[in-house]
Amino acid sequence: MAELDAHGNVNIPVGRRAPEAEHARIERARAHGHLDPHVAHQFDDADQQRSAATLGMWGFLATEVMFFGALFLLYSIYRAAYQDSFAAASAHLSRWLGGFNTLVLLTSSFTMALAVHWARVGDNRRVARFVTLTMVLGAAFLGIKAYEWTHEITHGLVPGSMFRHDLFPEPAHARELGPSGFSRHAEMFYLAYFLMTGLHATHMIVGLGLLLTLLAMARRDRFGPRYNTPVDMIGLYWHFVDIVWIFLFPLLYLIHGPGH
Amino acid sequence: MHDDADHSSVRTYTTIYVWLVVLMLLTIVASYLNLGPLNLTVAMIIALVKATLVVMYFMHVKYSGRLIWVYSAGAFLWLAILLGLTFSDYVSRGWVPHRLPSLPTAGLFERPRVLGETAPAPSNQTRSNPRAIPRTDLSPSSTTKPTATQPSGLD
Repeated sequence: MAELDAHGNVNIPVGRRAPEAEHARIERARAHGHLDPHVAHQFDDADQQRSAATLGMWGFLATEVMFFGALFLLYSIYRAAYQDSFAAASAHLSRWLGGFNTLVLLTSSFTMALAVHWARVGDNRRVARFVTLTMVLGAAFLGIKAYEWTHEITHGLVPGSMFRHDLFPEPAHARELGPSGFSRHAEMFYLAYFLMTGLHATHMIVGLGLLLTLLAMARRDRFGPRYNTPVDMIGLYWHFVDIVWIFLFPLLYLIHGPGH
Repeated sequence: MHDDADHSSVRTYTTIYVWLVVLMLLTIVASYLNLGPLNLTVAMIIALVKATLVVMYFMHVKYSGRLIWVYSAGAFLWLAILLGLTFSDYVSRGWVPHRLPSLPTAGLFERPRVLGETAPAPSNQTRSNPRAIPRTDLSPSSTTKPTATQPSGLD
């Protein structure tokens, strides 16, 4: 008779199993109705499967950190070199819109965490409800972002031939020294801005698609204490996107100091 | 990880969420204060605290095994290496006097000094750096004058 742990999983110590013992385990479990259809055959039990999934997800998130990291590096070097230009450029962003969007995204992370919680408990109705809420908040974030982008595009802040250099005149205290490329460095700020917020928004759109599949699964009552890996993993992804914004917000919106 | 659900109760999530919102308001308030270079430090410390709260509680790293700790810390360690090594290059470029009057790639932070030249007086205005970009580079005639098709100005 197989030992069963608190979750009803067959519990035989890892690494002490001959193939025939493995076979016997499956047979015994099947006879007792304990073979978990959600546990893939290469895993010993649901816990091990969950650990493997979590580790894989964190490996992926580490590559994502480096993906965004290159853009943060670009931003940091240019900002360190051209602080005044960056501050002047940032003044054209609304810190209240950015702040409101931060609130929206933090709230969506909170509702996502609750969805993960209820998936672990096994309350699929609540999972569906909180996943829907997360999607609504995510869409609201993208809507506000789209509004901001529209504003910036129509006001000549897109880097390139349409960029309005006249919006960033040379500061008075330095005018006698000759042109310094002040407005071109402001243009660099908007290059970093559009790249970073664009990549972030792309991640949000992917996240919304993932949440849609979660919603469909929750509607079919798929999650429970022994199977909630999809909610858990997509939750990790969503929180990661939230963390990126936690850094983007002060770096892009809050650098122009008092008086704006 | 048997007791994840017990630890990460709704109450904990709510507490963390409230803290995150408080910290967000704090960072906005701090941005209105004139702290000089400390503004960036304060904003980054608050962002780091927020990120740590999200990683620890929302992403359950606090209740995860050591392998997850290594992976999550490793991600940010590599980011620190990326930023740290690159900045050690840029920041130190002006430190060693150079035989050539200027190098095209040098001087993002400080113009390299010619041998024998004394160090320039410290200045917090990047703009007043003697390294100035030539006027031809700017092509002001095509870019600085707004045309009729362009919007008239920001509100």
